[in-house]
Amino acid sequence: MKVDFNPTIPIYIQIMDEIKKEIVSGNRKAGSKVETVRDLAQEMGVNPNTMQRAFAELEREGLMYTERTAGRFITGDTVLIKKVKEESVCGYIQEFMNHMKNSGFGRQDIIRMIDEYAEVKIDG
Amino acid sequence: MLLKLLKYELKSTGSRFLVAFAVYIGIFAVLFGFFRDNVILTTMFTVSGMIALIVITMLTMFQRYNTNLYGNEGYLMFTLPVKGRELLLSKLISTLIWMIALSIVGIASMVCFAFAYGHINSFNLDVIAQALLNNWSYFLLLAFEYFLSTLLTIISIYTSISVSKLPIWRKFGVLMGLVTYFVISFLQGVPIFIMGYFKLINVTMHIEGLSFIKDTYVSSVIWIQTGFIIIFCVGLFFGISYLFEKRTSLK
Amino acid sequence: MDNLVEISNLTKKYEGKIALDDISFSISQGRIVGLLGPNGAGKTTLIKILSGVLCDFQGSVIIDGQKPGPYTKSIVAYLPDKTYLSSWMKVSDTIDLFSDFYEDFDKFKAKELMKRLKIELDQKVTKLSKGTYEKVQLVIVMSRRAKLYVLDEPLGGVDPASRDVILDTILKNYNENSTVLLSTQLISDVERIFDSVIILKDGQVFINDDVDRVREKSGKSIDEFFREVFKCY
Repeated sequence: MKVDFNPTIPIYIQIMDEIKKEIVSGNRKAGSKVETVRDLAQEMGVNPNTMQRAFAELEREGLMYTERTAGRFITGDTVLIKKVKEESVCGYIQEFMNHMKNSGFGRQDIIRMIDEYAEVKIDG
Repeated sequence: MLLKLLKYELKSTGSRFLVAFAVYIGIFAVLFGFFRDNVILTTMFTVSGMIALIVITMLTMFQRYNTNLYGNEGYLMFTLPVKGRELLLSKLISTLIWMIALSIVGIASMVCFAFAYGHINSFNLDVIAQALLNNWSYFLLLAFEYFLSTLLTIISIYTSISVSKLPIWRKFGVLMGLVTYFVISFLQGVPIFIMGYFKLINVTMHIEGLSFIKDTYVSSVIWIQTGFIIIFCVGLFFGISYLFEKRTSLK
Repeated sequence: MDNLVEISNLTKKYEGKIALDDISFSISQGRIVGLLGPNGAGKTTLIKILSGVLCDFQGSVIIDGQKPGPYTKSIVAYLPDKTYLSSWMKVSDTIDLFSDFYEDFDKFKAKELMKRLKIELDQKVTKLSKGTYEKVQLVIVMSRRAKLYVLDEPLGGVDPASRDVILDTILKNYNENSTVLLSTQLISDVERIFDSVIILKDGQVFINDDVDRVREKSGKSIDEFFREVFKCY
């Protein structure tokens, strides 16, 4: 079983989050083909009906689409993917900001510190 | 489906019987080949050997009925897509097959015995053959009646076992099984009793010889007896089928 | 669409005890249903009735439009929590037996599964370890293309690694035309694969609902919910 599921939250939501994570991280490329419901359900160790529901919701959100004869694909809409990517880190940003604010940092300091950090750790 | 069930019945019970028969026949051959003069030995062996075979047959077949249907294997047998009748028939037929094999071995033993010790020899062989040929229909009828009463014995014991497993009896299952058997056996005697009462047969019999038996145990009496046995067999058969289809309740 | 299983006013009494008390529910096709409840709640009785091993009851049980009998036995694949194979059999004999009696049995698939689970076909069943024996029984049951799979504690007494294999086998086997009814005490291991759960309590249906709805309403996992309900049992 690849994924550990939290049994108190509906599993289809957790599957959706997992797939979104994979899209965001690049493990699932835009426009790439998605496994069948059965195969992915078996891989993740979940009920195919649950997987079906997750797929349906992802299609509704526009992250997946079905081509009748060819199968299911991740959307090629890079704008949407970027939006999802940004949405996925919103929570972290909020948490970070609150923490910095509570520690007494103002906006300019926060931006400066981020810039310094990024220069070394991300670009350097 | 019935044939498949029968196949598995024979497969399950076959090895034990074939071994038992082979051992018996083996020892029989050795004794009659090399120790023919020792009459006491051969007689003792033949008698005790036959008894042993009969006991083994009965124990094996009834134990199989018990464990295969009412033990853990019942969870397989009663979930096979077959009718209760077919289950029952497969067991009856397989038991009959082994009993007939047993009878053949028994008769063959006695014939060998008779030949070996001169009870049948070149002098009286044609006399005996004549007697058999003249009364062939009578002997056929006797064989038929023997076959049917064997069948009835088997069904009676099956019925008793199945009755003993009914949950109504709670702890008294085995007791009720025995009661059932005695009741059936008693009822089997009723026709003879009635016929005796109406003086259709002479109930006090002395064993004196072939012709005497033939006179008292007349064909018509055998037909009546056979008829009753058939009625019993059919009744018990449908009784057990009913228990299988409507009253199965495995632990 | 008609339901696969329709139960109406089902009652079963044993001497002095009511195992199932006038229960009614239905199960549709293409679902994986968990059958849960403490010991004595009536799970085993219900399972025995569905599989045809217990036919002395009051009420109506309809499976695929028929009462329990040879037809329902041909479309119901039952895995009891007992060892039910004849002792003279080898693993290959059990495959032959199922192949003989069940038209929907896939012999090739059974052999493949046995191979994947590293089970030797030539072994006598009595010589198998308990875990392997249970896997053999699971494989031959799941190799049938049945409409209703009734699995009684398929995970009991099996090591955790094998449990994953067994769940995997169940999921892989699933198809939209069949339903799996799975009874278990090990809820936390299995609840992720259920579509819905039926929880029995004292011979009655306490819960019969979609898994997610139960989780939402209680804010708990099925396992936690179960523990809370049956705290004093």
